[in-house]
Amino acid sequence: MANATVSRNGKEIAANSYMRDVIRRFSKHKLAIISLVVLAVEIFLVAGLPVILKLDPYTSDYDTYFGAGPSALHWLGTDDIGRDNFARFLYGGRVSLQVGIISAVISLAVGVPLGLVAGYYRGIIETIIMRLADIFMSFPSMVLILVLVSVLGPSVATVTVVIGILGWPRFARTIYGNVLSARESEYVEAAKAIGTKDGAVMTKYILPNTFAPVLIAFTFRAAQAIITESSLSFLGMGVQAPMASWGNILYQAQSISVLATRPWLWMPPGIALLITILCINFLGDGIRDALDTKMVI
Amino acid sequence: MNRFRYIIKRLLIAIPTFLGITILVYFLSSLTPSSPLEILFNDPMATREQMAAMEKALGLDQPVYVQYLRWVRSLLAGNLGTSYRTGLPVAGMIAERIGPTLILTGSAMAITIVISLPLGIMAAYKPYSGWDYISSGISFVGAAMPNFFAALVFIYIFNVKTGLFPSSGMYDSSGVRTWGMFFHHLVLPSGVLAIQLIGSLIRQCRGSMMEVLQSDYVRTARAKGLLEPPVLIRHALRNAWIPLVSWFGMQIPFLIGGAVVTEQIFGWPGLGSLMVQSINARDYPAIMGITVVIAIVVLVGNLVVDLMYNLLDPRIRY
Repeated sequence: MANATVSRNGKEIAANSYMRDVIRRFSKHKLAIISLVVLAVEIFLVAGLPVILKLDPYTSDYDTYFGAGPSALHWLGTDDIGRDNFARFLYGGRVSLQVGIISAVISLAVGVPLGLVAGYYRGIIETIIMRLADIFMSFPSMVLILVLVSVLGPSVATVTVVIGILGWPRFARTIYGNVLSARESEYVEAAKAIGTKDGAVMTKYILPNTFAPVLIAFTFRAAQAIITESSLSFLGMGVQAPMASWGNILYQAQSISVLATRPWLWMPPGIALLITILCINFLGDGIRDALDTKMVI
Repeated sequence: MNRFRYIIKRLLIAIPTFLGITILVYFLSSLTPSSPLEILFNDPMATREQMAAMEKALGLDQPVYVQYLRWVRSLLAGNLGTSYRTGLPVAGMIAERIGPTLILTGSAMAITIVISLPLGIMAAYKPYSGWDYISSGISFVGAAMPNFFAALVFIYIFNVKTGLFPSSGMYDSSGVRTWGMFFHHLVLPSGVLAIQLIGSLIRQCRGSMMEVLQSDYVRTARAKGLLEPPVLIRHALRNAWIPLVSWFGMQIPFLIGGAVVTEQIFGWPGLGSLMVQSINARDYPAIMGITVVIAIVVLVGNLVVDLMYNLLDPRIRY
C-alpha cells in the first residue's frame, strides 16, 4: 500500500498496476487457468445444456425398460423408475455446485464479521468467539452436521444452511489473524486519530486488506462444502429424491447390483465430483500465488 | 516437573472445550420438532396418561437446561444412560464399538504414513523431477477424492471385478473368526479412509522437508562428508517432523468424520456407523454418549500431539 496517492487519478493507476500484476501472475499458473476453463465449461454444461437439449430429470420414460443401459435416446441409461440418468446427472451437478457455493457464502457471511469483531475489540469478545471457533474446529463437523440435519429434516435448504453455518470458524480464524496485525498498523491509527467510527475503521480500512486470504479460504471452503453435501446425500441425509444431486445419484450405487452392473450410472457423477474439487483446489492455489505480493517472479 | 504442570494446565483448558461440545450437541438435538416419545411409543393405543408418565420418568417434561444438568450429573457418576433404540446401557454399546473404530482409523493413519513419507521426502529431495510430479499428482487427486466415491471404486475393482477383498463387515458369515480374516476385511475400508490423508500428508511432508533441506545444519552435515541417507534421515527428517506432528493433530476430526462415512459403506461395526444408526432413530442418549467419547478422543489426541512436540523439539519450553 506504499503507493496510496492523494490524487484520485494516481490511486487508480496504482490499483490498476496491482491488478495487472495479479492477473499476470495468475496466468502463469497453467493448472489454474486450465481449471478455470474446465469449471466454466462445467457450469455451462449443468446450467445450459439441460435447457438446450430440453432434458427432463423427473419424468419416467415408459417406452424403455427401467434401469436400461446407455442408448442414443438416454445417453447414460435410465434409473430404477425410468428417469433419464444423463438429465439427472446434469441437474444433480447444478444442485451440488449451488449448495457448495451458497453455503460457502453463508460461512463467509457468518465468519468474517465474527473474526473481524474478535480481532478488533480483543478482550472478552475475542475470548468467547475464538474459544467457540476452537470448539467447533476440534469436533468432527460431519457429526454435528448429521445431528442438525436429522433434527431439521433433510432438504436442499437445510443442508445448505447447516453446512454454511458450521463453516464459519475457518473464516473467523483467517480474518482474525489478519485483523490482529492490521489493527496495529499506522493507517488504522491514523483513521482512528481523525475520529473515524469503529464500524467504519473495520469495514473501510481493515476489511479490504483481508481480501486475499478470505478469497482463498472461500475457494477451499466451497470445495469442502461440495464434498460434505455429497457425503450427506450419499448417506441419504442430504438432498432428497425426486431432486438429484451428485451425492444422491451415488447413493443408488450402495446397492451392490447397481454398483456391479451399471457403472455408467454412478461413475459420471463421481468423476465429475473429483474433477470439480480438483479444479477448485488448483484455482485456489493459483489465486494464492497471484495475490501473494511478496512473491517475485 | 514443568512438563507435569503443563499437562495439568492443558487438561484444565480442555474441560470448558469438552463441556462446550456437549452443550452444543445436547441443545442442538433438543431442537427436534418430534419428541423421542413418538419413537419410544410406536404403540398407537397408548393413552395420554401413559405418555405423560413416560415423559415424566425420562425427565423430558423438564426444561432443556435442567435435563442437561441432570445428564452431566449422571455422566460424572460414570453413567451414560440407556439407549432409546435398543434399551441397552449406552456405555456398553460404545465399549463394543470403539475398538473397531480405533483399529480402522489407526491403520488408515499407518497406511498414510508408510505411503506419504517416502513420496514426500523424495519429492522434496529432487524437486521438479519425475518423482516430484508423480507424487504431486497422487497428492492432488488424493486430496480431491470424496471418500465415498473412493469406496465405491475400490469395491468395484477389488471386490466386484476381482474378488480380492471382502467389502462388508469385519468377519464373513461363516462364524469362524480369525485374525487373518479380520485383516482381510480391514484392507478396503482403511485404504479408503487413508486416501485423502495421503494426499494431504505428501504435500505437508514435501513442504517441510524442502524448508529443512535448505537449512545451514543440513549444509554443514553434507560439507563434513556425511552420506545422503543419514543426512536425510538423521538431520533433515528429525526436524521436518515437527510441523508434521501438528498436522496429525489437525487431522483427528477429519479422520473421525471420514470414519462415519466409511464405516457406513463397509458395514464396519464401529462408532461411526453406530452414530448414523442412532441419529436415524433419534436415540439421544446414544448420540450424546458417542459425542462424549469422540470429544474425549479428540482432546486426548491433541494433548498427545502437544507432548510429542516437546519430545521432538527441545527448543519448546513450557
